[in-house]
Amino acid sequence: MSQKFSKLRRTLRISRWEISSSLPPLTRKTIGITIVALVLLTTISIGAIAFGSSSSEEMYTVGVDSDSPYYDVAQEGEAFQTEEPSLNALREGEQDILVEDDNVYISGTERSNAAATEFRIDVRAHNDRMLNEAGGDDAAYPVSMTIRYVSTTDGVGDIDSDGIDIQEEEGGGVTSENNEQDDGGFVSTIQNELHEAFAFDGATTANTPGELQPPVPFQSLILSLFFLIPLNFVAQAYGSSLLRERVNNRGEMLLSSPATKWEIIAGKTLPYIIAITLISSFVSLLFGGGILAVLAIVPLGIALLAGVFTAAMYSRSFKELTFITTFLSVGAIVYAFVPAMFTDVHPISSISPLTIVVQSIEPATTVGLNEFVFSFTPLAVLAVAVYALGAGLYREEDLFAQRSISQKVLDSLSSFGDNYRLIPLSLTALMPIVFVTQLLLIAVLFAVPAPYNILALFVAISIIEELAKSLPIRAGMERGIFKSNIKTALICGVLSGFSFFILEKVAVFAQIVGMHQLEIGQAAFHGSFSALEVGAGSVGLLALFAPAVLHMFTTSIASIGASKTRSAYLIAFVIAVAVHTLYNLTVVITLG
Amino acid sequence: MISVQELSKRYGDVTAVDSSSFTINRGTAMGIIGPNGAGKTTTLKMLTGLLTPTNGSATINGIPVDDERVHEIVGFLPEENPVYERMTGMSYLMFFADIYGVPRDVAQERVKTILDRLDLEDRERRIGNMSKGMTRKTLIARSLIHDPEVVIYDEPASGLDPVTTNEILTFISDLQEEGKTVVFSAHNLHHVEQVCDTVVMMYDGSIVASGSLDEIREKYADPTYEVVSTEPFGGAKETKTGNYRTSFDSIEMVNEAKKEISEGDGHIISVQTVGTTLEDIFLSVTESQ
Repeated sequence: MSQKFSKLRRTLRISRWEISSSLPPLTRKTIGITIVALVLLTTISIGAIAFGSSSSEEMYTVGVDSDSPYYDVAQEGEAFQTEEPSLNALREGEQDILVEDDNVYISGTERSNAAATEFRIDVRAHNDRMLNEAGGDDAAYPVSMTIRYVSTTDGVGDIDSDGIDIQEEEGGGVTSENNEQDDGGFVSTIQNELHEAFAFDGATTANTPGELQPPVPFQSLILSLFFLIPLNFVAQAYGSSLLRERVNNRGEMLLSSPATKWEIIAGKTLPYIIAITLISSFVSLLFGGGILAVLAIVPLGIALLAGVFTAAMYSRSFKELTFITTFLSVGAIVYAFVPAMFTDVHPISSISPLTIVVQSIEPATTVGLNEFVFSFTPLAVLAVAVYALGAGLYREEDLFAQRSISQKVLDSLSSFGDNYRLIPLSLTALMPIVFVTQLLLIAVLFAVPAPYNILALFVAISIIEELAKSLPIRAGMERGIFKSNIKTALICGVLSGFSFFILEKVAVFAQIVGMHQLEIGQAAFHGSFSALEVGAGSVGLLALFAPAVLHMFTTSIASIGASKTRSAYLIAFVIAVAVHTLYNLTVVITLG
Repeated sequence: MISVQELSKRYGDVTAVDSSSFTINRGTAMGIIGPNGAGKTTTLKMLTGLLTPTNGSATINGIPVDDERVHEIVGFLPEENPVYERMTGMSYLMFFADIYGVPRDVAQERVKTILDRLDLEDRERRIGNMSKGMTRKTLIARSLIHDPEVVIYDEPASGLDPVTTNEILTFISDLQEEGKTVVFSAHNLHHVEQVCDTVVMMYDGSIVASGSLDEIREKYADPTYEVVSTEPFGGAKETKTGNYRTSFDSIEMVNEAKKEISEGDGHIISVQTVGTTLEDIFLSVTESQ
């Protein structure tokens, strides 16, 4: 107990020292600058909130009768004003949405499509609210929406006798008709999206952003600005502090003291985690978010700190550190912002913690536990894994050594063990990085039209996975942990491939939010999904173990190269990536 | 006691220390000498637990050097001055007193005593504004903040002016007399001669000679022994102080002279080796490698 108390006391003492050494001296000047900065931040925030809310206020017009179930939705929605329904007004563009006989009509213009998307969001929020208020087990969604397309007067497509392309609705308000284009070029796939939103029958189809046409993500933009930019300042300060420890061997005195490296790392990191939490809480407070918003953002901040920590361990200079941290910051912003653009529009948004923030701010929306877990868990696990990678170098041998980043990467991987255990242990640390990188790729490539995004994703994923599987082997070979011969290389290849296969199965939790329902998500995680989806029998076993055989085979190729020269490793790696990509393409083409 | 058995450290293909073995008795002072790259610093850092040996083992007062408890009984002074320049000398020392779990009042008293002995006056000055000698003294005080049983100093007086060097070497010598076990490395072999009882000579990662200073001299040097007595003996010449001095080429001749003098009414005042310094021995040993 007393030893644990000593550890805690030392950790807190290091934290206190970190705060005092990082903060500028408390002078009138610094106090003045701080006050001015706070006032400016608050003013800008209030302005942004006001502009954000007013920019979309009553920007769309809905033609709807007051006795329509959609009337309340339009009335409640900030973005809508209501008028008496008029087909001519819809044609002329004076109304963006027309509701007739419980059917919703749009003209097919971009504005009209955007209005429909916004309307759909409000309908969903309305439904959620009504359902929550109803409370009974047999409560049903009270409102459904069916979209019909009409042509505008600027004349694209045919107009029938009464000017409306009406199709009779079958069933209880939820349409599932074919969405082939029948309106002279209007993108009818929006029906899919709307169908997805209201059907809740599992038969959803995901589309690319170009087809989704989400509303301008003003809220996400503002939140990105106010949540993520301060995080980057904190991360930069953290990285500088860590690198200062490495310059002139400054950190040596603490390493020679009774404080363990974990106490030192925790002590130096704690103030920055507290700073991130305080900043997130402050911004959350400004925007009317709650504790959920803070809980969602903090893991992203800690993951960023973890990346900066490891970058500081790898860097030889402040220049290198700045280069890597800038790259990490951009990655974090992309990871948070791009998926959040599709909040309430598409499941891809569940990747981003900003989505949770946006949803927690929207009074009508409730955040599901699975959405929160999916946003929270990958980042939390990533942070732990990246810290484990960097912490391997927080020792006298590596902390003050001036080696290239690539050599430092190998050093950190080889620190996981001095025998074959090195492979599964280092892969365990690398796996969250692989997983989150794949999520980031999905988010980025989501914006690229199919099938190019799938093709690009296949190549990128093959590179990432082969790199993750072969780097620990290369590290072991270079550091003399493994003998550089073919037999050892094959053992390492099979062990690494199989370990990766097992760890990949853990990544199946991607299913929580239906990532596998995305075409691009299937491409990224096909191995895991197929293993879950196949049944028993020979075909099932084949589908289960084929990825294992693939991983063992390709890693063995790279491993043989890794046991020789750097050039041989590079050539073998390229071959492994090519085989991996071809396998993926074959599976997709064969299985459709 | 410090016990080192077959201690090795390799960095990839480079062997920094190769199967070193030696023993240092409690309360004695041992010097490690050798040229740059001999493995002195690596050996010292393995003893402090900073570096993990590739092979072999070492214990300090029975505790393996890879045990965290070693940090509590060892005070380490590195070759460079790795300090936090923005801190004052006093705040730096009190910070480490907290890390070592030394109560505030005890730490303040201890710091005052150490810095008084080291003649360091300006304790509230930022370390970044201190001279090299002052910084060195601050770091020595840091190494003693937890009153360790063993002090391990890497080049403690390297690059300092003669006055500060003498202050520090005298201070280290006093530490040994107070019962602490002292291990330190030096380029300047005179520093080792001034403080140490035993010496280890390292060259290219290996120990090439070790033992007490007398043993080393006897084994490797070709010394001349200067004997001073109160009575005339052999071919001794009278000095200005009225004593008698002469030189012998072997220790056997010295012993015979001692016998002759003691059989008379006189006694030996001093016997000193002259002409062969530790540096001469070190050069002859390393040249033979």
